[in-house]
This record gives sequence, structure tokens and C-alpha cells, in this order.
Amino acid sequence: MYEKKKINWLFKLITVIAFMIILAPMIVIVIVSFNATEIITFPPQGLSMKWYANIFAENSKFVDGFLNSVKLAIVATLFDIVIGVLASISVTKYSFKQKGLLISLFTSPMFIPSIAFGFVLLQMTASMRILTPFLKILIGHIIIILPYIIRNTLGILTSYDWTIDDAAASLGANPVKVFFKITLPIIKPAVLSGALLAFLYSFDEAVISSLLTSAKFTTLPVQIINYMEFRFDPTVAAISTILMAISLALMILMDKFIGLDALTKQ
Amino acid sequence: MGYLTIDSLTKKYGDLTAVKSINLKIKQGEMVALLGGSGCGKTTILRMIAGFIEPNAGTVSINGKVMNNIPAYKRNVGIFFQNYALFPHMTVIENVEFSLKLKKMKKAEIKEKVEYILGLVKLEGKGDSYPRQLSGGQQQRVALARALVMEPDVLLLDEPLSNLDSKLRQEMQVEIKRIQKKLKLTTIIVTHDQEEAVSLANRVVIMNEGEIEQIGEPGEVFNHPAHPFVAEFMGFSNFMEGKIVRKEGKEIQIEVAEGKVMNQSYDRADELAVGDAVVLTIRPEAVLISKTEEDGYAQGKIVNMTYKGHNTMVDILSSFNEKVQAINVDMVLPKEGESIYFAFPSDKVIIYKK
Ligand SMILES: Nc1ncnc2c1ncn2[C@@H]1O[C@H](COP(=O)(O)OP(=O)(O)O)[C@@H](O)[C@H]1O
Ligand SMILES: [Mg+2]
Repeated sequence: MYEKKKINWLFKLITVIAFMIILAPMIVIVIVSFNATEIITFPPQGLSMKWYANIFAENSKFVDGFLNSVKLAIVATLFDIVIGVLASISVTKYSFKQKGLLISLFTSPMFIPSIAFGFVLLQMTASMRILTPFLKILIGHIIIILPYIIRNTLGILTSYDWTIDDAAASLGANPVKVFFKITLPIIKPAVLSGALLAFLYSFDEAVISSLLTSAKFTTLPVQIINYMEFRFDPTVAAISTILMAISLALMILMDKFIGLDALTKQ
Repeated sequence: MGYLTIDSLTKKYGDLTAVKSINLKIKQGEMVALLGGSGCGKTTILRMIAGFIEPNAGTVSINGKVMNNIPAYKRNVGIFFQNYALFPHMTVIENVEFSLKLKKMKKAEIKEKVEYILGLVKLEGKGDSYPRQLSGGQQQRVALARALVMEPDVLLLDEPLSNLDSKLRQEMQVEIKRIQKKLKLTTIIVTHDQEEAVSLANRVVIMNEGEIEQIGEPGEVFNHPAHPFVAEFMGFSNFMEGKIVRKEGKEIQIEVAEGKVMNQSYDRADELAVGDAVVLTIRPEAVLISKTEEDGYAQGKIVNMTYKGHNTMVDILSSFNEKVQAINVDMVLPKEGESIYFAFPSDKVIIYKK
């Protein structure tokens, strides 16, 4: 037997430190967002809601940016769920020669610097007039967030027992029914956890979006960057606080419907 | 005319021919056991009958209808998978009623059938459990119930009892046989246990490397295996190779090694001739042993004894340097290293011409 007590102490200490590292910035952001003064100070001097009011001020474009980002993230994520699930099934269910190559290809956008990727995309789409800024950014996001869905889906599918699908077929289920009643429900937790990561990545993405943006279509992160060029006040902290609250709400919803276990297991 | 007819069925995986032109006819309500070592193609045959994989050649027909171009979901073949393949996201009831719901059966009818079948496999009260909450034996019975409730034209059981402890195994053997008879199901059961095969099936098919070695009724295959391979599978041991050097009526002499000759009487000696190269075999439990020299017994030495509870396995080295294995039930044995006498009864020994 090794000394349990010492190890326990060490683990507890590391856990506390890790929590502090993660939580400290969030706590600071929340506190700053309620700060009364324009200059960001810590500890705060007086309480105020004016930065929150600022977000929704008449000439502010934050709400538009937020709605654009949500629209973009939802479309890109839904699109990638379909592609990601179909691609993952085809590489795991059937065996063929270039299988390993295909899997690395699917996950490769994760390792390309987004500034380089954004530049290439900008060059390629510059002459394509039919592509609106929304479509250009959408294409970029569809490509960069795909790995998050594919990795999660592949994770569950590599250990998937395909005889379960055979069993369903022998019981009278045609391929469409097998997919919707058996395969999809079983892999759903992994797909959704990947989709959540992909959604948050797209929502948060600033580099590609800022390269491909235009006055007509601006996402929230780009809006924030633009704002910060001219002003440096706690409005951004207020936006971040709202976003953190939304993320938390999403996590709680996910937990309720599919269980956080599934999220962390992947 | 078989109800399930398999004609020159062949399956290749690259250079490997997993199933080599198999022919088999099974009557309606008959239970046939497929017996063979791991990798001999048993599962592949079942998968072709169920329609999960396509044969490279040959046909599968059910009730006179060729099935080759009919997809699995239209075949009405029930299959029990070696690993159960239960739907993990569904309760026991949902697993079992899956096929009935697809047939758009009425709710009341589904309920009645599910209750009946769960009773049959003794799973009453477990209907709302998920597979992961059940023991191995219970999961297995869910898989069986799920395959039975669809009232399949053909039932395929892939090693249904291999993962069970011996008590549950025997109980389930009785259950499967009872249900199969009651529902008059045309059934193929795959197993690698000869005793299971002969106790369950109307006929036994012994396979080796994708080919059928012998088809026959249990008693016939068990007592008269057609080849040494089948004999080994059926529990024969003590294989001895040699050449017949003399024959007089039932009495023959086999030269097992240079200058070493064993005398043996054999009921079917007229099938053999002097000069034939032969393989002799006998079950260990059929070998007679004695502490004292008796007429017709050969002499040997005990080299090892393995106590197995209800009997003892005795390894003997004969005076002509052959290893002989005998199973002793109630005799008080000499010690290891001491002398012992043994004999092969003329009706228990089998001699194959090579
Ligand atoms: N999908 C496959 N690809 C390649 N070889 C296979 C495949 N399925 C089975 N085999 C091979 O075919 C042979 C028969 O397999 P199988 O029918 O599963 O044997 P059994 O059920 O008798 O143990 C084995 O040698 C196995 O390795
Ligand atoms: Mg098998």
C-alpha cells in the first residue's frame, strides 16, 4: 500500500489550483461588468448596470452581431452534423485501403492556423461574386468546425458493434429505419457533445470571420474587436458575462437531456 | 426437398475461402447443429442465410424461394448473435417488441405476444430493465426472446450458450429445445461443443476449414465419425498410425513403429487388408485398464494422472512407446511410474484407412 493521505492532499491542492486558474478570469469579468467607472479597475468602485444598457443602446450593433453569430453557428453546426455523421459511418463501417488517410484528412483543419486558412479562403472567394459575406464565412466555419463533430462521432463509432444494426435488419427494419431507430440514437450523445463544441467554436471564432467580414454581415466577435479599437470600457465584460450565462444554460440543458457524462467521456 | 436449402454456397475473403461450396437441406421444424472449430466458417454461413453478406456463389432458398436478391429485412430469418447484439438504448420490452412494432401490429396484440415470450424465457418482471442492468444469462434470454417473437421462418443461433456457466447452460439447452419444438422452428444452432450438438439437434453437421466433413444423426456422428478429424471433434483420442502386417479373422496386427507390433481385435476387420496404412482411434473413456495382467491386455506404465472430480485421466506410455489416454471412474489406481495393463475393446476402436 502506498501512502494514501499524502497523495490525497496533493490531488486536492492541484484540483483547487486548477479551479482557481479556470474560475479567476471569469469571476473578474463578471465583477468588472458591474463596475461603475469607465476605466477597468479591480477591486470595482461602485455598482452599475450601464454597460449592460450600453449593449442594447440604439446605435450599438452588438445585438445584430449576436444574432448573426447564432445564425452562422447554427447553420454551420447542422450542416456538419449531417456531413460528420455520414462521413464517420462510412469510414468506420466499411473497410477500404485509404481509411486512415481519410480520417486524418477529416480532422486536419484542426491543425491549420486559422489566419492562414482565412487568408486562403479570402483569396479563393475574392473573385466569386455570388458568394455573400455570410456564405463565405459559413464555408470557412463549416470546414474548421467539422473536426470537432467528426472526432467525437468517430470516437463512439470505432467501438460501435455493427451486428446491432444487423440484428435490427433481421427483425425487419429497412436501412433507413435502422439508421434512425438504432444507429443514430446510440451515437447521439457523442454527436451532440461534438456539436456543442463545434457550435461554441463557430460562435467564438474571430480570425476567419474578421478577414471575410463586410459591413453587411458582422459577427459578434468581430463587432467586439471593432468596438475595442475605439473604446476600452467594460461593455465587453458585460457581453462576456451574458455569453457565459448562455453557455452555462446550454450545458445545463445538455446535461438534462443527454447527461454531462456523455460530454466528458468523449 | 428441404425447407431451408443451401446449394453450393461459397464465400471468399480475398485469398481466403471461408465457405467452400456447402450443400445442406433442412426440413421444416428440424434442428441442425453446425459444429466446428473457431474460424471454420460457421458464422459466415449464418450471415449469408440471414442476408447480411452476399455469397460469391451458390444460393440460399427458404420454402422454395431463392433468397439471394432479397435484403435481410425482408427475409424473416431470426438470428441470435454470439454477442447478443441487444439494443442498448432500449428496455427489454422495447427490444422484444421491435419487430412487432415494425409490422404495425395492434398495441394489445404486441403486449400479449411480448408477455408470452418473456414468460417463455423466464424474464417476467424484467421488462423495464435496460440490457446493461441484466446479467449475461438474462441478456442472452432477451436476445432469444427477441428472435423468437417475430415467429421467424428460420431461426439461426450462433453459439447461444457459449458464455454461460455449466448449470445455466444445461437449463438453457432444455429451454431452447422445448421452445424450438413447441414453435416448430426450422433451426440452425452453431456450437463448438460436441455434447451440446448431439443432445440438441436432429442432425449434426461437422465442418472443417469451410467444408462439411460429415452430416448425420447425433448417434451416428458420435459413434461412427467418418474421418479422423470428425472423430477428434467427437471426443476420440489415442490416435495411432501404423501399417497392417497380419490379419486373421477379427485379429489384426498393426506395426506402429519399426519392429513394434500391437495386436488388436476389430469388429470390422473385413474392411481392411494386410499392407493398409491405417489410423487407429478410441475414446479415452472406452479404454479398459487393469492392475493385473489379463488376456488381450497390453502392458504400459502410468506417466501422469489428472484428478477431475468424478473421474481420473490416466496417461499411459505403452511398451511399444505410444501414448495412451484412459479415463478411470472407480478403480483404485496404482501410483505414477508403476505398471498398468490396458486394452481397446473390439467394438469401441475405430480403424481408418489412410
Ligand atoms: N469480414 C471478414 N473479412 C475477412 N475475413 C473474414 C471476415 N469475416 C470472417 N472472416 C474469416 O473467415 C473465416 C471464417 O470466419 P467465421 O465464419 O467467423 O468462423 P467461425 O464462426 O466458424 O468461427 C475466418 O478465417 C475469418 O477470419
Ligand atoms: Mg463464429
